[in-house]
Amino acid sequence: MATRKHIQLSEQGEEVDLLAKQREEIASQAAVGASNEVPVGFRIFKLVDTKRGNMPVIIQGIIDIYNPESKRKERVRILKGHPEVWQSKQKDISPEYIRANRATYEFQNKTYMLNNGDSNSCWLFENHPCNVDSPNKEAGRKYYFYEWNPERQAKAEREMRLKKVDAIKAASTMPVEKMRKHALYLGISFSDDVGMPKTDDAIRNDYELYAEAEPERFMQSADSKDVEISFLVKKAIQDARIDLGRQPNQAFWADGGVICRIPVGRKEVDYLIELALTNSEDGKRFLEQLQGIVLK
Amino acid sequence: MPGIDTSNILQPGAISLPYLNRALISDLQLLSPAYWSEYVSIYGNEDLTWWLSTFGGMEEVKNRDYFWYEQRGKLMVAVTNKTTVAAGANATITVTIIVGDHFGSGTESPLRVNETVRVASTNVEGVILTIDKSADNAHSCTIRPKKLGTSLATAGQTSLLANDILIFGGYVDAGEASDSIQPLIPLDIKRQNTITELRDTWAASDLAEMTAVYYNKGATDAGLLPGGQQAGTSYFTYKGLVKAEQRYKNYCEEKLVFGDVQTNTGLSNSTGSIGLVPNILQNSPTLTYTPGNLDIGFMHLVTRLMRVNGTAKQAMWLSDVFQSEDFSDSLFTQFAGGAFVWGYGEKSEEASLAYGFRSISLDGFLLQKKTYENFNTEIKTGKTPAIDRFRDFGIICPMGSVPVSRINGGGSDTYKNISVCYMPPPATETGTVANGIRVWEHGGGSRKSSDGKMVDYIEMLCYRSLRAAGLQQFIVVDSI
Repeated sequence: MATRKHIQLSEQGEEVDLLAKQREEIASQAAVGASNEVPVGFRIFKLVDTKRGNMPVIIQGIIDIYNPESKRKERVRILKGHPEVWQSKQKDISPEYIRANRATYEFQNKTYMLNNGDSNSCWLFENHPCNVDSPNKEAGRKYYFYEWNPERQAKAEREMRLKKVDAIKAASTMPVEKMRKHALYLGISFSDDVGMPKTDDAIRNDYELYAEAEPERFMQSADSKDVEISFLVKKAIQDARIDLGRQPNQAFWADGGVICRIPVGRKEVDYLIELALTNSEDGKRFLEQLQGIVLK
Repeated sequence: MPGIDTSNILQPGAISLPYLNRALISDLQLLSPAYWSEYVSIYGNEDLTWWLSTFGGMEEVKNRDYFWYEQRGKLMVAVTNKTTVAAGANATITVTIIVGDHFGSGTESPLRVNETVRVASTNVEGVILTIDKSADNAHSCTIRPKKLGTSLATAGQTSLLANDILIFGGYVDAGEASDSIQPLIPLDIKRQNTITELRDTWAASDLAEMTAVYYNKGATDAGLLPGGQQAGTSYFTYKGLVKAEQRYKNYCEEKLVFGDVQTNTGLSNSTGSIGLVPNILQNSPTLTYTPGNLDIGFMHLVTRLMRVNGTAKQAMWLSDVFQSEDFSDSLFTQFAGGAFVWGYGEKSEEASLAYGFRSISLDGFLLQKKTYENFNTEIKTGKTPAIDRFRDFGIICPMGSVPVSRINGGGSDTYKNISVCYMPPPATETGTVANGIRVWEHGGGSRKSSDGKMVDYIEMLCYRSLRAAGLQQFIVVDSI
C-alpha cells in the first residue's frame, strides 16, 4: 500500500545517513594522509640553450645509449607501465601498446620537472647522451640539458661575482695613462653627451662601469698588446700622421709613403690594428714605423 | 751573276708517300675537332628558390627596420603554483605564482580578486579572496574552495603541489548586488626584423667575352634576371652569367631561410636579418625524435601540438632528405604494400595515406609532405659534413594567414604567415629593377660603357627580409 511516507521519499530522495558519510570521509582523508608519508619530490632539468624562447621542446623516450652489459649501443625505449628500458628486452608487446604508452618529456620554459618516483625516466635522463653531466654525453647533439643543481648554480654565480669585484678593483686602481689607453681600446667615449671632453674621473667612472658589466673582457684585455697597438694606431690617425682620405681603400703616411690597401668593406682602423698585430714582414715594418712616429 | 735569293721559301713543298694517310693530316694539324655543341649541366636544375616564391607573399616595406604586433599568449588564462602549500577541506590557502606568470619586470600578473579558479588536477573550484602584489615576481593570493567538503589540494595529495595549475574561470557566482571586477587586459608582443642587403657580381674581360668555345647551347636561362646582358658573344661567359644569377637567387633564399643578424664588430655596417629557421628554432615548439621512429604515434604528437598552438588545418611539412625517407619508411611499414589504405580495418578512420600523393589527413589536419633539399649540404654543395645541422630536420609550416592586430577593433586584413618583405632599390638607367631585384651593367667592357677599363660588370642587388608571423603555429621536427 502506498503511504504518505512513500510519496515523501520519492519527492525528497533518500535520507542520507550523515554519520556513515562522515565516517567515510574520515577514512578517505586518513588514507590519503598516510600515503603522503612517502615524500614526492621532483628533479629539475633545464635546456642548455638560453637563447630559446619559451616555446616547448619535446624529447621522446627513445634514444640509443651505450649498454655496459652488451658493451655496445642499444636502443632505449621508455614505455609507461613497462619495467624494462632496453627495447631488446621488451618482448611480446603489441604495437598498439607501444603507440599508446611511449613516453615524452616536454620542456616548458626550458624546464622539465621529473617525478622522482618515475625510476625509468630518471635513469633515462641520467644516462641520456644529451645530458651534459651524463657519462654517455655525446658531442654533436642538437639539444643539451643539465640537472638543476642549486649548489653548482650558486658557485657559478659566486665566481662571476668575484670576477666583477676583481675587475672593478683593477679599474679603480689603474694608473691614469694606462687607463686612458685601455678605455680607448674598449670603445669608451672620451667626450660627454654635449661633446665636451671628459675629465679623468669621468672616464674612470665609465671605465669601472664597463669592468662591472664585462669583467672577463676587461681583465683579458687589460694587459694585452692589443691595447697598446690600438692606442698607437688611433693616436697616429688623430694626429694626422696616417692619411686615410687621400685615396679610397688605401692608407698612407702623412709624409707620402704607402702603408697598405684596405679591403673593401673593412673599417680602416680595425684593419690597421690587425696589420700591426701580424707577424708578417709588412706588419712588423708598419709597427716599427708607427712606434717611431707616435712615441718620439 | 748571283741568282735571286729564295731562302725565304720553305722546302720541301711536297713529299712522297705510298698514299696520303690520316697521320700526315694529323701532323699538319688539319683535323677538325668532332664535338657535341651542347653544354651539359650534370646536376640538373639547381634552382633552390621554389619554396619561398611559391608559398611566401611579397610585401614592400618603407624602412630597414620593420615590426608588427602579435598576441602575447592564449585568450584563456591559467597560472602555475610556485610552492607546495597544505590544503585541507574547506580551507583557504595562500598561493604564490611562478615567475613566468608575471609581466612588466614582475610587477604585473593576471591575479584578480573574485576570480574563480579550478585546480587542473581535480577540477575543484575556488575563488580568489585577496591578492598581494607587493613582491615583484612573487605575487600571491588567497583562494577558498567554493563547495563545502572540497579542498584545493592536488589530486591524491593533502597539499596543492608546486607546478599544479590553476585555470581561471572568470567572475562567476558573483552574487546579488555584485560589484565590478578588475578587467583582464590582453597583452601584445612586438616582433621585428631588419632588411638586409643581398648582392653579387659577375665580371668578364673583353677577350673572355669575345672567345668562342666548343659549345653554344645548354645553359638553362629560364630564370635569367632582366637588366643584365653581357656585351660579348662567348657562350662560356654567357653560361657563367646565367649560373652567377642562379646562384645569387639561391643565396637570397638561403639568407631568408637560414640567415641571422650581424652584431659582431669588425664587419660591414649591415644589421643582417633573422631568417625563418633561426626564428622558428627560437620561438616555435620543437618535437625531437630518434631517426627511425616516425610513426603514427609520433604523428599524433604533432597534431596535438598543432591543436594547442592554433596551427592552420592545412600545413606543409618541409623535411630534409633523410627525414623524408624515414617518414615514408616508418609510416608505410604500418600498412601492407604501402598502397592506398582507405578501408583498412579500424585504422581507416584515423589515417588515410595515399601513396604517391604525399599527403596525410590525420586528426582533422591535412599535412602535405615535401622534401626541401636546401636542408642537405651534400645535395646543395657536393660536400658531406660529418655533422650537418639540418640533417634529419624538418619544419611544419601553416599554410594560412594570421589576422592583423588592430588596436581599434575590426579589420579583415590578414598577414600570410610567411612574407618576403623588400625595399625597392633605386632606379638605374644602365639596368632594370624587377621583382625588387636591381640588375645593372657597368665597366668599359659592358654594353653601357662607364669607364675605360675593358671589363664587363653585371651587378645584382636586392634588399630583403622575411616576416614570419604567428611563429607558435610552426613546429620544428628535429632529430636529437
